[in-house]
Amino acid sequence: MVAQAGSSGLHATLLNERSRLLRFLAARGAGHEAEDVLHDLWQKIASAPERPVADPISYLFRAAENHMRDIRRATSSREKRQFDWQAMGDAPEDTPAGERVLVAREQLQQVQSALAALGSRVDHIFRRYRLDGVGQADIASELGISLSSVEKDLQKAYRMLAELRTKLNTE
Amino acid sequence: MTTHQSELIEAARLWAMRVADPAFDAWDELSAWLELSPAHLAAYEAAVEDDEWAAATLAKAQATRDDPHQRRS
Repeated sequence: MVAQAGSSGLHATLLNERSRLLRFLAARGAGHEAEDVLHDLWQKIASAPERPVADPISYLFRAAENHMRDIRRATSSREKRQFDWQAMGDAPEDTPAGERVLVAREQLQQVQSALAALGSRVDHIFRRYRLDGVGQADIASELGISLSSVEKDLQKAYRMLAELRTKLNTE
Repeated sequence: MTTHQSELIEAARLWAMRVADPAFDAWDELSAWLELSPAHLAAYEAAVEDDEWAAATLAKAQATRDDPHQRRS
């Protein structure tokens, strides 16, 4: 597909894909407000600096996914602030910065050793995928292994890291 | 935890993992899966948070390594 430059090409795609995007946004948490959310999303896209988009459909769905993540993050930090405010009676206002740095460093070490424990291939594949943003098919050809091997290795890493996060949160 | 719950968590984690692929294009399938039950969205969001936490934690290490001023002995 030829890259469509600028927001006019994207807008044409948005109109074509409108019902699919609305369905996705509704299922992704926007519910009855999917139309408003799509409108806000378009404002955001149209106001961003123009750059060539190789695959407009993918671009719009990805933007919709990211937009729902932004909304969720904003909502949960607002709720957290409210909660902190209510709980402030005898609680310290915030965790001291030094303590936060220590916690972050300890979490990093735990993540690194959890990945290392799964073996160097799993470790490498997870970093390539999540830090370098390389897709599964490209990783498979880089390493000369099958796509399903890459997916299985990633699943191991994801499962381990989710367990680790649960453990750290309940400590 | 019931089998049903752990299967749901596993399925949600798989979706979050696949969506992280820049070449992911199964958006309609994801919509269909999310529509099956409100529990699917909650599980998916939890899986996305796990994924973003792990990536952000590792990214901080890389940023520290890349910036010599941040380096600690």
